[in-house]
Amino acid sequence: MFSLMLHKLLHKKWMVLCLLIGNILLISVAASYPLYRVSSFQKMLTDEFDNYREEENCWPAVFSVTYSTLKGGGKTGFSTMETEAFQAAEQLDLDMLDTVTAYRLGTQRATPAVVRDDETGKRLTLSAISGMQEHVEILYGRYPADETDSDGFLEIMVSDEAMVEQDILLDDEYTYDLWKDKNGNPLKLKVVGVFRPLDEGELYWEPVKEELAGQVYTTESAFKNSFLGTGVENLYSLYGSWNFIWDYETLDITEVSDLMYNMNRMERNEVLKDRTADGGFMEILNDYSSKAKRIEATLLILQIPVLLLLCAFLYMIAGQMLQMERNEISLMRSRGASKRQVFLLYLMQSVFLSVVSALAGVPLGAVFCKLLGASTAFLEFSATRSLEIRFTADVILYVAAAVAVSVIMTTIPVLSYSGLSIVHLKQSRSRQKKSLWKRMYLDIILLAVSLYGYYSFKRSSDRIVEDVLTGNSLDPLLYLSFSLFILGAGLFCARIQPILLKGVFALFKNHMKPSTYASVLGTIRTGAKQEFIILFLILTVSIGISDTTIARTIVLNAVNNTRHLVGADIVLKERWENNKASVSRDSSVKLAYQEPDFDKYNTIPGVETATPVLIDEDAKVTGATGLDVTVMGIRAQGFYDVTTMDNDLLPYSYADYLNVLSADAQAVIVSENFMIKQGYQLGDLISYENADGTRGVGVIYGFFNYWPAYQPESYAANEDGTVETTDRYMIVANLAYLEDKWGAYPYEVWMDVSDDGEGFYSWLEEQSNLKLTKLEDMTVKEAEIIGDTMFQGTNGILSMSFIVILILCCVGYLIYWIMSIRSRELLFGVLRAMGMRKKEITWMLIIEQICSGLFAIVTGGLIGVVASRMFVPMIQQAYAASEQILPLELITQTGDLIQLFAVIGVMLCVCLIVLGRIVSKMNISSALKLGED
Amino acid sequence: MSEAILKTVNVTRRFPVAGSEDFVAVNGVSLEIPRGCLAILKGRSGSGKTTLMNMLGALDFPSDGQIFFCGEDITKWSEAKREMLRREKIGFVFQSVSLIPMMSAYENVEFALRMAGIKKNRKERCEECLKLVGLGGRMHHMPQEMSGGEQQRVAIARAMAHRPGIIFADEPTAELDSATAVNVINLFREMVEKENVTIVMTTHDTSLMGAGDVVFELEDGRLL
Repeated sequence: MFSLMLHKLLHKKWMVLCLLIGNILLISVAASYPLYRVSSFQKMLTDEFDNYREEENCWPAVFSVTYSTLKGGGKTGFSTMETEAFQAAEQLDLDMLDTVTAYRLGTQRATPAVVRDDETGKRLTLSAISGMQEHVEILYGRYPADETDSDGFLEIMVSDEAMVEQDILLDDEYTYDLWKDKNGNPLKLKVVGVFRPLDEGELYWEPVKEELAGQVYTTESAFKNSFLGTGVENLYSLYGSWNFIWDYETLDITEVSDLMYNMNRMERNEVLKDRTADGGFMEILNDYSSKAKRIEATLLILQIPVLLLLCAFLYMIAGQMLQMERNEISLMRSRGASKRQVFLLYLMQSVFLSVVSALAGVPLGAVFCKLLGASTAFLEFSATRSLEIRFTADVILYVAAAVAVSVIMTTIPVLSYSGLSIVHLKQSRSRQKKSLWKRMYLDIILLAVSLYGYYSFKRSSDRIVEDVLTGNSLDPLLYLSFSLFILGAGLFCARIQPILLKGVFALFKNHMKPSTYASVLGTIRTGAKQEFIILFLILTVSIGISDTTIARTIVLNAVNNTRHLVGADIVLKERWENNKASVSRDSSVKLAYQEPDFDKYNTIPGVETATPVLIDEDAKVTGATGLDVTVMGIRAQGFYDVTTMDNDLLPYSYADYLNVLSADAQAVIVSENFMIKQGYQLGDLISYENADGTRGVGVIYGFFNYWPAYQPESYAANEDGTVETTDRYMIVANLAYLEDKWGAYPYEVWMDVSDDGEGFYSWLEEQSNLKLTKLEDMTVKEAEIIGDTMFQGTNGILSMSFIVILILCCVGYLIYWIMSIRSRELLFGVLRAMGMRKKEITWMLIIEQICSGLFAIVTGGLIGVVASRMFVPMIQQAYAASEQILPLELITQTGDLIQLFAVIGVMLCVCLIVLGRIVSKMNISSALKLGED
Repeated sequence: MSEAILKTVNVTRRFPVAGSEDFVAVNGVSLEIPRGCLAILKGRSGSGKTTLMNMLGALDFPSDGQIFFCGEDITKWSEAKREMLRREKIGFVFQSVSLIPMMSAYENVEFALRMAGIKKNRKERCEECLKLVGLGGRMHHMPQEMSGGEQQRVAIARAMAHRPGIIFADEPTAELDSATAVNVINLFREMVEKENVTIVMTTHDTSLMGAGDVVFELEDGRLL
């Protein structure tokens, strides 16, 4: 049976090749999903940790257990706790980089032996950190001894910072007022050394770096000997922490859920309850998990259409192949083969092909995964970014599922054929039925369902925003409606194509050349056979167009929106020196800032313009409302130069706004909600005050709804899942006026750069004294958006889907036409015998291509445009709902379309060339001989 | 009988055979077919009648020799000119059914008129031809809805529709039962008489020989 099958397969090599291509694509698409998920999520996880580390300037991967007791509280057990802590850390099964134990004695007043500057007492915190000796360098004096000295002093050291801040000097001696040693004598400390961390960046210092300036240190063993142990612990207030620093880079995404589970379990554990802490990693892991869930669901949804198309393709080819083998099947059946035997033969064939395809499909899946990871836009891939490919058990699962689906899809058609005998065959040949979907009006049903979906989503677009804010993914039903719309519209066009052709034919049949006549008539009469290929082409074009629109729209809108929120190419804020310290001592002193030099920004290479922009988010409108408002102070010309604003978004031109502002020092322009919600009008006076309570008064010269860095509403998700919207108000005033009223007040520097910030960064590196409290760079932000797993995955999957559909379309189109010509060789022979020229036969084929191919491309294009207009705005909301300020712009880049149509055009040309070759090789007399068989 | 519509001089057709000598399908055949007669090429299967007929019908070129159609040597003509000849002056009926499957009987016949560039009175002519072959009532049936004999009659109607000077029929009765075969031959006789066409048909059925005005017999590519 196996050899029979192989023989059969070799005989139909073209069809087998098609089946193999379909199978390989199905398996590779299926395999690429888990592959990409694992690699990109791994990258995302590491990125989340990196970002946190960068933003918070600390190592987030620290697991800590703390324990504290009060003097006389009767609670002891530090050593038990230590064991517990180590066991707990062990359970987490993490790659430990370092372990740091820190103990300290409750802070108490100590009297110095020598009084300096009238200071009669100092509050000291005595601590000890494990392994300190290897991590410090002694600047003065020496490292403390483990034993008390002959005079009963416990030796301590202080950091160089503490020396300055606490005013503690070498050889100082202190006696605690309250703390007594084991023997009941007052506890005496002597400073024997001043230290500095050998390397402050070392992970060892992570858990304790904040405390170095405020504490004094003895050795770990001295601390343990003096204050820990049974009978001793109860004499003191003690605090201990065991810190386990682990390597987040080796944390595998598969371990995340276990880690989170264990951490949560410890929270509930009796001994460890309220004693465990994380250095921020739980927050990261929680963020990661919800993000991963959302992305996972979205990517899966995006893949469904292509998977369905692949199944349909396999079904079609398998059906076509069976159609060609009807004779053989009926012969086998007539000679006594049972239904079961025929079925088994085909089942074996399907399994064989699927398994062979799996061998090629998995490596191709890895290629797809790389492609996904390298995608920067629709059908754009950058070689510099690559993902590490990891094969997990998931991959096997998905591949197995794909093989199963493929076997099912390719054997289903056999069920209807295996019962066929020669008698049935002859009978069925004379009938030509309408396709099932036409009889069921599937196209109309699909269109109706998708339109219903469209309108219900349109009505509840707020819900989409809510969904996104509460961490839900793109609604599968929305994307489904979108896919169904394309499919329904495609089917509908495939239905009307013969009707349209009939119309054209009826009108022009008396004026047609014989070749045109024959081909149009043929296309009308054999329409059902072409439906599938027309549908495929329509779907390719329409999905191509809407996919490129989705991909471009979500990314570019996110980028534009971010640019709008950031304001300029580079925005930074310097730390301004102020007199806060003296204000806190003496409330009569007015807070004053010292403005740093601004001119330096204008000399940075690559910086076209730099302008100061004062932003006070904590300002208020003076008066009864006390409305929170953001005050922005600008220099009109500079602001105009560094910002961009689409004039369509404002009732008057952007330049006009800035002109009226600069014409009157006291002029302000304010957000429109002042007018709508607060009843302000043009010419009204508006009085406001900054966070420090200093006032300013402005005359309203204009209202705006859009302004650089202005967000009209902010959203926040409540715990019950509802979304709360808060109006935000903004007053834009002249910076010169504000400075006059408020004095020097910290402002941001907005810059327009021409070289992606290269000059700026090399300048920044040289500025050792410059301390920035804010730095936002659009180039970096843009790269972040493009690299974001959600965007990248979407771009990648849409691109991959499109490539797969395109391959399917090419293969399907070519095979359809080759088959169709092969089956018509006799007909062409007859036509040639009747005197038709080869040129005319080629013309017939061209007409056929126009009737089906061109028709499909044009209608596919129309469907794609309509579907994009209808659905993309809603799909886009799922990607950027909360921060979308600018009105959504549907973006279809001409370049993408050219690329799309070029690829399809090449496909059609290749098709025509292949067909032309077949026709030109055709020999009349041998073609006619075919008929004699 | 008037002058010859078709005349061959020493026509030979060789087919190259890999690894051995050429196979000679038609060997030095010279014959003349008068205008307005029913000529029969007879011979056993493999005797070269179809090869000879393909050359006569300008579907194939002889390896040697000349073929004169109405006195002109068509072997020297360009392919385009031969195609025009086939369109306008020649009709074909093949052994197997050779109708265009997606066209109805009527459309098949009409298509021959379109091919020949005839625009006037197409409808009348089609109906006339189909009535002549006895299918006046089944004009709008599709080929697959007809029996083999009916299809062959449609093919004959199509071959004669554009009033070609000559019709070639390659074993037109081979797949028909004897009664239908006789009908087809009678039809041919009727056409020769009524339409004044020349019909050249091949057959291996000796019972049909009597119907021919001229009979040529072929054996191993040679005219007996």
